[in-house]
Amino acid sequence: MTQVEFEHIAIELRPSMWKVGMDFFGSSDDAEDVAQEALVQLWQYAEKLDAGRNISGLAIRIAKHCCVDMQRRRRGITVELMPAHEREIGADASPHEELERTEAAELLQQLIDGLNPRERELFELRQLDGLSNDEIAQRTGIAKASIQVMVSRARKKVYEEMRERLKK
Amino acid sequence: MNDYMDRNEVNKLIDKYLEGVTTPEEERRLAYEVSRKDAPAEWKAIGAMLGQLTLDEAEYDEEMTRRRNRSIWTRRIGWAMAASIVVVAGIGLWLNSRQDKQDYECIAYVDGEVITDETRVLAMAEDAVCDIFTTASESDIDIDAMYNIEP
Amino acid sequence: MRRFIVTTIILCFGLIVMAQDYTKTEQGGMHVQPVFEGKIVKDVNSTILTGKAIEKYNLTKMHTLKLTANEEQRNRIEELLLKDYEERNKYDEEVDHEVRGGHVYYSIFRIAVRSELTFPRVKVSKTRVYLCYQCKPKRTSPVQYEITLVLLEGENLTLDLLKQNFKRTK
Repeated sequence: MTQVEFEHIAIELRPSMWKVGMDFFGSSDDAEDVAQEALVQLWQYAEKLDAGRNISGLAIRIAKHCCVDMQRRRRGITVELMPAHEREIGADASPHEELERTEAAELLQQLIDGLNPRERELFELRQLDGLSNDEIAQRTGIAKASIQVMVSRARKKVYEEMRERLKK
Repeated sequence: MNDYMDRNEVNKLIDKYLEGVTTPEEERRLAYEVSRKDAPAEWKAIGAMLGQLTLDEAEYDEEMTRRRNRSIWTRRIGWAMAASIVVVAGIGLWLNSRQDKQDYECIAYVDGEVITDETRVLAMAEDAVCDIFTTASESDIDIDAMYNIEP
Repeated sequence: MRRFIVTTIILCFGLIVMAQDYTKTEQGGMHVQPVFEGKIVKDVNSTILTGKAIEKYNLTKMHTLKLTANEEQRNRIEELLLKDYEERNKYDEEVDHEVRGGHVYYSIFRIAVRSELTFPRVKVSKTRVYLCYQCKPKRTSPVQYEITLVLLEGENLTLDLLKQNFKRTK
């Protein structure tokens, strides 16, 4: 997805992300902050995705994450979503835990990248967009039973590899 | 989501997740469970797979539910108070109106006997009152001061 | 729904308990009340009348009591009567009494009425209340006393009206 394409979608997505923030904080200023921060993070995901991908579900999830994260920051805790970016170590997370989390996230990304395109797409639709198998079936046109099989295969592949690597 | 599930239940949910049949709600629950401090390595792998987005979504939804329940409870108390005032006011009005209608008493207790015959009761009452007022009218002594009682 | 019903019931109960404080009767607040209840002298002859039977006297309530008391009991009853007089008599023009031998021979006085809160409305009472007392030595025994105690309630009562109504015709 190009930046131009994203900006076009962002205009449509912004109001619903703003509403998530408003519902949570009850303050227009905070809702603005949520919408802004969520769009920045959404772009970091979206630039790796295809232009035609519906990212509205992902946008809402990221907005919710931003709300929770802002609340944590006010309490002195922070948890970053994207492993490849600068992270602030929060008061509650020890450096060791933070490192573990970062390594796990990086490893996960590698393993997802190693899946075949269909499995990867379905894995991400479940993990990032939070869609159910029914919703994925509707969006992709793939039979629900096939989706279940492919998601299962993808997850088991990733899980086995992760379990082994994390033990080491 | 304050109470953790027991480990067997979590493992069953993990199996379900790996089979690809968990719902988004179950995945949010699973994210919450595997992020415990004492989670084994296998669970941490699942946690990484589920991702921070899932966990934070669960936390967001839980917070909103908590607030909704608090608000519902406040509204319920308000309605309960209004309802109770109406009920008590209604009872009070009813009792008041009953009292107006049934305010009639005519009874005497004489040497342990109960008398309800109106004529007899009235005669006894009149006799007692007249006694006092007759005493008062017959008395020609005009002494003031209830406080002048001699020891 | 269940919690709502339970909360309502508890609040109703609380309101009713609070309302009890505001629904005390006039007689209930008097010092002589134990006498009417037979707590000073157990054997009493009493009458209670309300309603049509006493309307002709402009009364709404008439409570009479006759008893025989020993000296100690007489003194106690007199003490209670005097307390009511001290605390509740605010109408000097509505008093008629006599003291003989250091004790109250008879006493008629009007007592001040509290504003009643009859739930759910506040009622400023127009009722007038008179307490009437008489104590005479018993003819058959000088150490025993015949005591008559009467409580009269009614609107627009006066002492003169009562004297007029209850004058014994010879």
